Amino acid sequence: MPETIRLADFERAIGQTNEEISANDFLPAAQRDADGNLIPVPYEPVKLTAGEALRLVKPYISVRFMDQLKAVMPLALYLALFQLLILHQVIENSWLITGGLFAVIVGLLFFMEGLAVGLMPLGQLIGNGLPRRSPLPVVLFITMLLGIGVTFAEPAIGALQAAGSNVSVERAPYLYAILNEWAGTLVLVVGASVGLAAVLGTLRFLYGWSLKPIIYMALAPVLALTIYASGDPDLTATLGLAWDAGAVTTGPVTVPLVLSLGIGIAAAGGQGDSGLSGFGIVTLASLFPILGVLLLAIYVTTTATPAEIIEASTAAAAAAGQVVPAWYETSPGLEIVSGVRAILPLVIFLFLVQKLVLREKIANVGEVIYGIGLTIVGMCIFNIGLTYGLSMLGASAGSLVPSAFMAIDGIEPSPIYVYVVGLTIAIAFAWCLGFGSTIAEPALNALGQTTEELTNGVFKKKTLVYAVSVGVAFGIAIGLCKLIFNWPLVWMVVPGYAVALILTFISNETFVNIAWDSAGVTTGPVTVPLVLAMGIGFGNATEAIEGFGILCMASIGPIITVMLTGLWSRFKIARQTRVDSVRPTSNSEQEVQAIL
Amino acid sequence: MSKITYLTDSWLITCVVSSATKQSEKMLLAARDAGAKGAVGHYAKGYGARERLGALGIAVETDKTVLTLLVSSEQRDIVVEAMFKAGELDRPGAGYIYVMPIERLATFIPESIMSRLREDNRVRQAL
Repeated sequence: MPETIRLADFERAIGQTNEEISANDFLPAAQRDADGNLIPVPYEPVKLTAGEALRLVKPYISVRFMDQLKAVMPLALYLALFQLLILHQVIENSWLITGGLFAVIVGLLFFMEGLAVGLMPLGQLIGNGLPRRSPLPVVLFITMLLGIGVTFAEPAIGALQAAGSNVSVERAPYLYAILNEWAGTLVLVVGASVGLAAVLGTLRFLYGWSLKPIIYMALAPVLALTIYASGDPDLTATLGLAWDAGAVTTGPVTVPLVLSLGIGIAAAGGQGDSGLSGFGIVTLASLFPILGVLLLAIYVTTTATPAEIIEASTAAAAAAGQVVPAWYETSPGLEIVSGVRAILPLVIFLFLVQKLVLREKIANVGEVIYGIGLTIVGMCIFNIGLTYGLSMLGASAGSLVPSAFMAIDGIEPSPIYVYVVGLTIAIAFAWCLGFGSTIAEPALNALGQTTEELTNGVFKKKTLVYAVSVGVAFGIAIGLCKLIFNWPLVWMVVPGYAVALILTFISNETFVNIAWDSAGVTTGPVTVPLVLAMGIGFGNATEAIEGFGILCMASIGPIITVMLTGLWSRFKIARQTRVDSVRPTSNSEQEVQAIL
Repeated sequence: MSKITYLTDSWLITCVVSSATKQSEKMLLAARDAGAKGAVGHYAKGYGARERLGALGIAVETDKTVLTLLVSSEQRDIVVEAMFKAGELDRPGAGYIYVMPIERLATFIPESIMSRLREDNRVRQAL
C-alpha cells in the first residue's frame, strides 16, 4: 500500500509554505476616550529601510531615465558610429562627450519630471481658472506674457546662445552681433513673437476662424521681409537664424503650457473641443519668430556697421584675455546661472498670476515647489550637457562629414572618398539623421494619435509618422546641400513655402491644421542642439557664411509631405467612390483597401 | 522569490456616495482618524434610487464615488461607524456602505514591522 502525505505537510516540511499574520497586528484601531469619543489615530509616515526605499524609487526613475535614454542614445550612437566607421575618425574628447550626453539624459529626466509635477499643474490651474474670472483683454495680455516666459524656459533656446560662439565674426558680423551682444534681446523678441502667436491662436479657436487665411496673412510679411533681406548682403547671413528660430521655439514647455491656457479660454468662451481647437498655435508660434528676428536684424543693422562689430568683438576678445572671468562667466557656472535665469521668470510669473489674479490656494504646494526645484536643477544639468555633449558631438560630426568629399585641413586622409561618392554619403547621412531622429519623437506619436482620431481612422498614425519623418529627412538633406553648395536660403524658403501655400489652398482644413502643426512637433530638445551645432560645424568646415537654415528646411519638409499625403488619400477615396458609383456591386473589402 | 506573507483578519469596506458634494472627502478623513491607512476611489454612475423616488429623484445625483478600504477586523466597526457618521448616510439619498470579509490579502510589508512581529511571534505558517 503506497504511503500518502498531505501536500500541506510536505510543503511545510521543505519550507515552501507562505506565512500569515493578522491584519490586527499592524492596523491598530482607534481607541475611545472616557466619553466614548474616538481618539484619532495619528497618521504616521511609513518607515522604510534603505533597501526598500531603493526598490520603491527604482521603477520611478528607470522608466523616466529610459525615456530620455531612448531619445538621446540612437542619435548619439548614429553620429559616433558614422564618424568611426564611414569617416574613419576617432572622436576627440569622447569621454567628455559621453559625460555630457549623460548630463543631457539626467538633465532632461529632472526637467521633464519637474515640468510634470510643478509647472504643469500651475499652468493648468491658470488655464482653467483665469478665463472664467478675468475679462478677455486681461487674459490675452497674460497669454502674451506667458509666451515670453515659456520661451526663456525652453531648453533648446540655450542651443541658440551656444551656437553664437561658433559663428565667425568676420564672415557674418550681424549674425555674430545678434547671437552675442543682442542674445538677450533675441530671446525676448522670439518670446514676444510666441506670445503674439499664442494670442492670435487663442482668438482663432475662440471664434472658430479658419487657419488658412491666418497662414496666408502670416506668411506674406515673412516672405516679403525674407526677399527684402536677401537683397542686402549684410542681412542675408541672418536669414538662416531667423528661419531656424521658429523651429526652436516649439518645445516641451511652450506647447503644453500655451495650449492649456488656450483651450481653457476656448472652453470658457463656450467653444468646447471642436477637435481642431488645439491646433494652430504651434504653427503661428513657428512663423511669428521669423518675422520678429528679421525685424530685429534690420534694427541691428541701423545701430552699427559691420566694421564696428568686428572691432568691438576683437576688443572684447582682447579684454577677455586679460581679465580673469568671474565664476558665472565660465563653464559650468555660466550654465547654472543661465539655467536659473531661464526658469525663474516663468515661475515668478505663474505665481504672481496665481496670487494676484486667481487668489486661489495651490493644492500640494510642497509638490509644486519640489517640481520647480527639479526643473531648475534639470535645466542647469541639461545646459552643461548641451555644452559638453550635444554641441560638441554635433560640431565634431559637422566638421568631419565634409571630409568625405573635400579636403579639410587637419583630417588625414581627406577627401576620404571620390567626390561624388563622398557627397552622396554626406547627403545620405543627413537624410538618415532626419528620418531617424523624427520617427522616434514622442510628440509626433501623440500628434499621430490625434490625427487618427480626427480623421476617423482614414489617416493612420503610422502614415503621418512616416510622412513627417520623410519630410524632415528631405528637409535636413536639402539644408545640408545648402551649406555644401552655398545656396542662398531665400532660393529654398520662398519656393518651398510657395508650394506649401498652394497645397494649403487646395487641401481641406483638417489636413492644413495637421500639416502645419507637424512641423513644430518634430524639433525637440535633443534634435535642435545637435542639428544646429552640426550645421555650424559643417558650415565652418566648408567655409559657408553661416551654418543655420537646416532646421527651417526640416520644418517646411513635413508641411509639404503631410499635405501631399492628405491629398493623395483624398484622391484615392474620390476615385474609389467614382468606381463604386459606376459599379455598385463593389464589396466593402475594396473600400477598406482604398482607405488604407 | 521570497515567501508571500498573507494578512488574515482583513475586511473590505465599500461605500457609494455622491461625487458632487464634499461627502467622500469628509468620510476619508474620518476613516483615517479611525485608523484606516488608505483608500481607493472610483467614479461611477448610480441607478435605481433616482427612478423610484419619483419627482424627488432629481435630488439624487447619478454621479457617484465608490470608496474601497481594506481594514483589520478590530478597525472594522470603528471605521464603518466613523464613515457613516461623517457621510451622514442616514440621510435619504446619501448613499450606502457595506462590509465584506477578505479571504486573503497580500502586499508589501515594511521590514521594520515584519521584524518586530517576528520577535513577538506573531508570524504563523499559512495553511
